[in-house]
Amino acid sequence: MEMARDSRKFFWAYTGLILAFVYLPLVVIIFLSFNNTASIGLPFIGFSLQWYYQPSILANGLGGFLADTGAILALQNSVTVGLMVAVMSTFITVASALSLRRRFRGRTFFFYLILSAFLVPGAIYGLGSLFLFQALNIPYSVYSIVPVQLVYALPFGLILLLPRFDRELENVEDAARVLGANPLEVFRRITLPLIFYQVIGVFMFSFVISWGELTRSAFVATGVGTLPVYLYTRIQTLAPTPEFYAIGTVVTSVAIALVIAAGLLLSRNQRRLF
Amino acid sequence: MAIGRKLSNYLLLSPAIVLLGIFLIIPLLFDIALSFWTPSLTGYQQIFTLENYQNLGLPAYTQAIETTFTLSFETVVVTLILAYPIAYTLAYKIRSPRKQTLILFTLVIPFLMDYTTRTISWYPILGLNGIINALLMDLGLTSSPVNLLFNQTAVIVVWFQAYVLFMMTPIFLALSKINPSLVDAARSLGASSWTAFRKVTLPLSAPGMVVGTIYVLVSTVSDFPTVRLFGRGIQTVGLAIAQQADGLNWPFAAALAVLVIAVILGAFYIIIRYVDVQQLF
Amino acid sequence: MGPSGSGKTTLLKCIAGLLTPEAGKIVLDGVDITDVPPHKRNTSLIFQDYALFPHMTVEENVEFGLKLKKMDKDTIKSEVKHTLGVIGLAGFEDRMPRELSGGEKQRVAVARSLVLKPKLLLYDEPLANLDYRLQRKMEEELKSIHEEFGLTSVYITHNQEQALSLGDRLMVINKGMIEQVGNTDEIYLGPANVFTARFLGEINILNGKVAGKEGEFVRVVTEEGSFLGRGHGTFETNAQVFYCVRPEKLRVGATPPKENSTSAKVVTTIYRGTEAEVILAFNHETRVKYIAYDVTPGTFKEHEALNIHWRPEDAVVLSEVSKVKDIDIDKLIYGS
Repeated sequence: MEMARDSRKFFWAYTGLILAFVYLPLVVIIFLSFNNTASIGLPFIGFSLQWYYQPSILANGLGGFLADTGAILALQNSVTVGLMVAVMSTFITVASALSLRRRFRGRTFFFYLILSAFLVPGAIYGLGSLFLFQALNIPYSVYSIVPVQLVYALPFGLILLLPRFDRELENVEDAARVLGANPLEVFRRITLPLIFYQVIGVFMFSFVISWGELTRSAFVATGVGTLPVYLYTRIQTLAPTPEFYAIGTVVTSVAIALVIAAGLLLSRNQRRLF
Repeated sequence: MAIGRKLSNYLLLSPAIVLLGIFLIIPLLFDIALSFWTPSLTGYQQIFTLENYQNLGLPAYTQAIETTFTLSFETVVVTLILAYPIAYTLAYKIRSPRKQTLILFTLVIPFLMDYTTRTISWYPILGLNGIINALLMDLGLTSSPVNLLFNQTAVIVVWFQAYVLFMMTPIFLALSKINPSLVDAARSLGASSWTAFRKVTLPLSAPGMVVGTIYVLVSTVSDFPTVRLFGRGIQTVGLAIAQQADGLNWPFAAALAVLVIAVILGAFYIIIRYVDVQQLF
Repeated sequence: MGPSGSGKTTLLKCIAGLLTPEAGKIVLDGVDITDVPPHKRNTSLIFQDYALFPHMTVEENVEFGLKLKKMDKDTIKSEVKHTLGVIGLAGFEDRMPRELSGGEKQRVAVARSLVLKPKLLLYDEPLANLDYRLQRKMEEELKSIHEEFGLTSVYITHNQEQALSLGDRLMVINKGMIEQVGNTDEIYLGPANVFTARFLGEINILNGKVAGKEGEFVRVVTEEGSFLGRGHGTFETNAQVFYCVRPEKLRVGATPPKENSTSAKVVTTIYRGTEAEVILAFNHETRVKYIAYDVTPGTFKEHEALNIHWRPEDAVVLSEVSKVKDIDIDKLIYGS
């Protein structure tokens, strides 16, 4: 009994350590977003909110987040693209899951096909998409990012949703069928409500993936692009300021709020999450 | 009736197929085709050539390839070893599923940070004026600040923080699926706790480790922003692709890309033969 | 043996060393093993869901414990082969658990433990997941293996038929309390309390009061009449007791004897092939079960009047309901 107690402590301590390490950047950016200096490093000079809202007062035109039109535009783009990706991803994932849950010829092939989007590294995929748009003369816009991110989000959604279709669900659907419901009714009245929380999970997960996606989007973005793209392009031309930290803090806060909301929703269906 | 079923199956799958066909298969095919074409001022000319692949043999690029895969491999190993105990703790040392989910979400939150911001946040930590250096000097371990940035280790550290969640989660899922009686059975047959772990739990968690490894591998192999920001002087394939794409030498970038895909696919097929990944789902 | 949640599995796991008791000792063959870790005890546990290692072949499963003992390869191989042969799975070495049927998996689980020649073999309801026919067959096989190898086994079940057929000694537990422990047939014929009587086979129970002792028997006055029965210990006159008779001990007779007889009417009959289960109603409407053997259907007609009698030594007088306090007596006696 004692041995078990000790080992538990060890595991918890270890987890805490790694957790602290993983949180380090987050703590740093929140902390330093209030730094009263243009440098992104230490030391901490003084408390200031300038990086959040103040319009540019510096010679090189750098200023706070809310005054940075480019950043605001990028934020809007991120939200738009994110929502589009989330909605489309949810639909396609649900449709695909409904199909892939049954056995049919080529099922494994399609399953691995969707998963292979997972296997393609960002840069390789981005490059190919670049060519594709070029060759088809598709004009670049913010929306050209959507299919690129969509393809990447799909396997995640599928992995999240597919395990939910277990024997128990099949039994309940069969019961409905026996009682006279046609396939559409079965889906609407039985399947959908039961997989609802997973579907929400897919929606939120897709949004979060889109929100943070950089490597693929960087290849096909133009102009301002989404927030991660904007920040990345900016850092190559201008020196970074704590405004980045401010943006990061705001962005992460939004994402945290979403994840907590998702968590509360999903925890109402505990057993089925895994 | 059976025909209707089949049809509806394919119908449901069609959006995914269309999407993937256009936006996954074709770009990949493009990559392959492009790698055999000639670079030009407008990007490429559709003239068949093998010079791109020949250029891959140049010392600069073989070096880059070697660096890339070394870095990725080291990151995978570090992440695997460090993430496993966390997955284990989550799966076996926590009783309520509620707590499990809670901790899982706690782990997710740092990953919601924006990529660039998160990467540059390591400057104040690893930099000359940074936290680590301050700590080292306070403890008297060094007298002048050590340059912790701009080397391979820094890249691995940053990558580890970025990807540890994606290694931990599949391992956790795999561990959760193992029949708890199995460890008891092993112990009852004479195995110590450690032996039982080694012979039963570890092998059965292999699918999870595979998924995590593949994810980290794929992510790090083509990850260029971090390398650009932290590895001044380090050249990786991902970075090279980005650079070549910027410089409009697309065919060469494509050749690099094809190389990477070939290696990853190769690794994937080898691993699949030994581990049954499907059971994870 | 005991109902669900009585603590059977917990007890077994304590004996195996997988759980540590908060108090008390576990002594095996004179040695106190309470603090000995499971892999050092000479016990082996067979699980209800078999717990075969899915990533190992049958051979690898069975040799698992032997390999840990660092025996040499050839000895291991021959031991495994021998045990698989004994258990009826010769040639199964290279199969994987997922390819096996329930009965085959069960046997591999047994072989895996058997090959280690443990001092104590622990079974956690191993046959619960098999169908009836297979259960019967496996019971016989387990019994013969047990005898052939001279083993000592602790077997958990909630199936009373299995308990009666397999066990030499029996312990009935209920909510963590020992209701009764002793030789199996003694417990069946002489249950210590109502719980044990009810749990171990069918039994008819009448409420009554003690009238007095008559020789070796006790006279009990019930609603249906005054009857004689066996009773252990002292019984005060007018004490509340339970008068119990097993269904197979009832007799139908044309001329009723002097003691322990009453008239009854047939309510319904359930014909079960080898036996007929007849529900009777005594004079005051008490429902009683009677089991008759080797009868043809239609022997007992509804509403038919019968004379029922039984021997005094076949009836048991019990004063205790259960060792567990606050037990629901009505639920226990009349079933849920």
